[in-house]
Amino acid sequence: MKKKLLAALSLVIGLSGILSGCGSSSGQGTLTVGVRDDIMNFGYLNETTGKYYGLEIDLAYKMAEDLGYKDVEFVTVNPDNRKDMLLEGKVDCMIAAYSISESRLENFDFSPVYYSDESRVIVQKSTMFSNIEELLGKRIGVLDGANTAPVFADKLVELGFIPEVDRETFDAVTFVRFDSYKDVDVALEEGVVDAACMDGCIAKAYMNDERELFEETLRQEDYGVATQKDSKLSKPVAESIQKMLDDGTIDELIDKWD
Amino acid sequence: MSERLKKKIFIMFAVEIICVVLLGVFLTVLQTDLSIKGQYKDTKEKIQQMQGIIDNADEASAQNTMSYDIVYQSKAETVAYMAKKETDFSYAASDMRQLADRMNVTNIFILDNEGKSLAGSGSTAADFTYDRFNQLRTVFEAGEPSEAFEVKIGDEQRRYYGAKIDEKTQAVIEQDPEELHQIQENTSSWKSILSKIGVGLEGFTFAVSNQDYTFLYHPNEELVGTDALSAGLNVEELEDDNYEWMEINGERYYAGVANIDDDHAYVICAVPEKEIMSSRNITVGIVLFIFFVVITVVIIYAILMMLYGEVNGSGSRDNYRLYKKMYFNKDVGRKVGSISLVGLIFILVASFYMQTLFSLSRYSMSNNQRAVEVQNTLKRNEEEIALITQQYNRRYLNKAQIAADILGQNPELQTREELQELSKALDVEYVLVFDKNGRVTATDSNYTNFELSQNPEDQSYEFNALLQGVEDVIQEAQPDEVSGEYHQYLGSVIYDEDHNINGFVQISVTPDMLKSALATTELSSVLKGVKAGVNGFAYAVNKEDQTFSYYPEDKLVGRSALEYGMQENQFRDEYCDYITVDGQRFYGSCLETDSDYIYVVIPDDEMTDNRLPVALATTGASLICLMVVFILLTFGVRTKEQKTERNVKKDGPMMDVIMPDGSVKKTESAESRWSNLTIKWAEKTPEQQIGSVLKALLSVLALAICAAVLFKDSFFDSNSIFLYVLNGKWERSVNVFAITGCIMIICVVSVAVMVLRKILQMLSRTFGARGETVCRLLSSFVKYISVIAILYYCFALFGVDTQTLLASAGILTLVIGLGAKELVSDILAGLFIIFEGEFRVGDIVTVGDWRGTVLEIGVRTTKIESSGNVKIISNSAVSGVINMTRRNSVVECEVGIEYGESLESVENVLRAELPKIKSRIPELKEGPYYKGVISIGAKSVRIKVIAYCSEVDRAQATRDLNREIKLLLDRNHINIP
Repeated sequence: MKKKLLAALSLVIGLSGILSGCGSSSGQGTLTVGVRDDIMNFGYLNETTGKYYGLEIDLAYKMAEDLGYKDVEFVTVNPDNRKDMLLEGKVDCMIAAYSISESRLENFDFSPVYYSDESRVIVQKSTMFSNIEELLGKRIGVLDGANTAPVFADKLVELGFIPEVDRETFDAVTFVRFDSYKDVDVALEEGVVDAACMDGCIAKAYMNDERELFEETLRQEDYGVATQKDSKLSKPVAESIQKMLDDGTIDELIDKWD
Repeated sequence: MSERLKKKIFIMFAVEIICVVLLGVFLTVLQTDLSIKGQYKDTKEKIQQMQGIIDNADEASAQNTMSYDIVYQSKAETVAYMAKKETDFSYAASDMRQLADRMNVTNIFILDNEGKSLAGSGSTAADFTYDRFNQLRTVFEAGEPSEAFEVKIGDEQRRYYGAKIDEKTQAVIEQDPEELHQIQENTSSWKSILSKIGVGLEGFTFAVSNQDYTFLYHPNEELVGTDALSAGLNVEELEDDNYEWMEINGERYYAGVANIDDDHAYVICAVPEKEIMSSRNITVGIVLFIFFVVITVVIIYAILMMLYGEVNGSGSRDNYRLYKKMYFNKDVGRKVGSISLVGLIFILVASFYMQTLFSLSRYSMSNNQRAVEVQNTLKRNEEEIALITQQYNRRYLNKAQIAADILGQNPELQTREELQELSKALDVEYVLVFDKNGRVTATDSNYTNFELSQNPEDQSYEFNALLQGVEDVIQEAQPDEVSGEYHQYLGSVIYDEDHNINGFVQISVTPDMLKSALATTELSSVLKGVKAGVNGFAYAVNKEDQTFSYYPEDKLVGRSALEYGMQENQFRDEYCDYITVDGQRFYGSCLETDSDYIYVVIPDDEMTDNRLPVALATTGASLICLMVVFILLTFGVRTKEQKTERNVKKDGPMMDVIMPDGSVKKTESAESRWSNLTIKWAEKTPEQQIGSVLKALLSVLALAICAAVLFKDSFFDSNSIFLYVLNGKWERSVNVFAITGCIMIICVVSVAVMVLRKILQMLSRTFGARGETVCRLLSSFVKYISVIAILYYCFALFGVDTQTLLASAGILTLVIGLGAKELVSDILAGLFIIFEGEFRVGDIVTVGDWRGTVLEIGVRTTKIESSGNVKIISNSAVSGVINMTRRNSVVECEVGIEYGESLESVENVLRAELPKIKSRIPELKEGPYYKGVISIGAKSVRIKVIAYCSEVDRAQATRDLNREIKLLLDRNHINIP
């Protein structure tokens, strides 16, 4: 663990070309940021131009500027590999619609929350479903590696459809896992899954006239910038995000990408 | 040229350049600001209307979808009806296939209430047991056909309709919704909505998805579906009600954004920077050019005057007002002041005029463009009406055919009750079954004992054809003969088992659906969608009775257009000018269709708002510049001695005349006016010099216009406003275009005439006297022809009917001949005096026996003054004029000498004494000279002495000379008999 941290640090330092001290305020060097490439308005990769754009991308630029980096390099992470990418130091930090949860706090440091979202259930109108209760026994499409499934289970417990003890092992609904949101989208359209569950901001991009979001929301998801536990970057990142929260920069960005 | 003058010239031209640059910057900033403000207003208006436009389209789309779904729901119900009622309904795949084909649907399935397929006409990718298809199963509870929904599996898009057969089974129609999508594409796709909304001249409207930032619609088809962000749009810019510069594929646009959340899209109205800038550049360029001309003329004129003053020594003290260290050149000041004032007025008028011209031509073009778009839409609609009607006929006919099939195979269903159910399943009004004799055997309508009429006039006659071998009859919708309600009847033959005609089935439908489907293609709905400028719109006037067939204000529809201010001459194709409707003035273009005149109009005040402020600002700025120039020109630092040396030089052909107000002006002597001699530059007065400069500038301008007119097609873009002005497709009446046309014609013709006359002049020099005569005649001929041609053409431009003018010339002559002959001939004679330059004001002429100075050449009379008396002569009576405005007039003195005197001694005396006379008679310019013996008379030898003086002084000089000669002879004791 410590070794990895050192490796990451040395990478940062190596890139910044500064041999001593923390490379984070040097005015040069590259910050490697793990971002998503499939969430419209958050982190999206335009394949023709090879450019990322979205709220999190802008945030990464602002943060890097604030921390004194000259350049930002983006690396695509997905729910499957993001944990390892950060642990292994392949990215310095991660701004990838990564919600803060207790289990994650064990491994990583998180900045203050820069965006709060709620997981939503999305269904085709032709299924005639209108609340979560009707989904019992149905197939729910989720993204592999996202924590939607446990959150959904929590909701079921909260609503009293499954007893607390079955939290980990329940079979009240079947989760069908997909590699990408696009696949979830197709499965929902074709009826392979009866409903899909994803973060609100993502769901918005897959909405159309034939679909509906349930009024009921699942647990709130708080996105934060993740850094390695106790890394030298953790504090400046947290401070930088807090600063941007205080001076309205983040509100502006959210407004821009809304 | 003195050093100080050189310095001054240098400074003045530097100042001129600075002034032009400053004014240019000022105007560019001002005009950019105004253009963008104007564009902002225009775009904002469009953006604000956008939601409404899109809502309308969405409504139309919903309407279309509904009517489409109703048809297929009824098909599903028909299948359910057949499955329920027909004893021999076959579930075999091949029979199902046949039925599907007969009903024009993609697939038919019979499902149980869990979605398991019991029978079907083919295979499907859909798994009906999925909850995705829950909608189909709503039929079991509701009993009604299910709402339509679409599922896309792989690449196949399908629309589903369900109808209940019984508690356990249902019929499902699977339909490829391509036709529906096609209709949507035509009526409510982004393309069909946005392509109609033009912004400015070349601007357009496009849509970007607010979900994934791809182009949903863009006039450039290649961009549709591509990423808008990579094309250069910024996410910050894509906010509702945001107006700013945007960049798309490297081109800058001024754009406004509307966020249409229901459709997940940003709609953007964009005008290319090019367009805004080019209209700005034209205005700025022209105003700047005018300013440049004026300031150049002022400066050059002032310099020429100072130069002239230096050379001719007009720098006498009274021309200057002296201050402590400065002097003010009064002479230059007066003249420069007056031409500056004229120039300023010219700038004001010209910039106002130019802006009017260009704003009108811009709006004319944009109106015309909208009109053409309307025309195209109407043409497309015509096809669409045919298409939609055909489509509906096909749908209805299919119902008739299905009904014929069902009822043919199941005669037991031919009862009133069953037919009622069938009508409901088919979603038609009534079903009527006819036997082979044309009698109604069963129906759910009131026409129970109906029989086909044999009278070709009657409505039902047409259906006899069905009994004679025709398979189907589609009758046009028409008011029912009996009830008067609007119905459409369709029939299809029933065959018996041996395929013999066994009567037919007739269905009746109400054509409401068709009507509402066609509603979007109506003229009024087309015109409603037309947006021009900020508040511009389109309306239509019926050709037949000239009433408004569509107008945004409902109260005007159906009223007579003439009563509301329109003119008879405005009812014609390609009319393009001001139109007044209901007290409001519009500028508009007309387009003629088969039934209507369609007008696209823009409120008058909207397009010329900026005119006056810009013209005034320009004039104000010019005034400041001219004032600076004026001060620099007229004031100078006082040096010890103003140069007053007199450089006497020959005046050349120029001479002084005394004007009626007593001032002395230079004029060209009469003889030199026709001599075709070019006056040397140095001999010209500053006025003539500046005249030459102006003439040169104008010739350049005229040549440029001439070139532009001749090579317009290669010079300008097809949609350039210059080309619009040059092409002359504007209205023939007194308007700014006609005036421009006149100016251009005058320029072109005068350049041509100038060139021609120069050539003739050159020729006349080459040939002898005869050539000279012919060339002069030709030259004069060319002049008059050109004037007449210009007049004729200009009249034509102003909308005067020149044909009638020519024809009425005869009548006019008669009237003139009878009545006002004198008056007209006076007026004409006056014109000719001026045109031919017989004499000018200030000339000394002899008309008949009256010699005097010309005071005035009036419309009817010419006033000639001589020693305080003014003779007023009718212009027509001015003939045999001797123009005595010459450089030197001759003073003659004849005297007789007695024979006793020696001629030789007399001549010696004269030679010695004559030069002394000149000093005593200051009026004499040359002489006197002794000119020899005139005659040898009976008592004396007559000799002659002449001298030259100016014509004005001739009488007095003659008297003085006579006196001096007498005294001279007396002094020398020479006897005169």
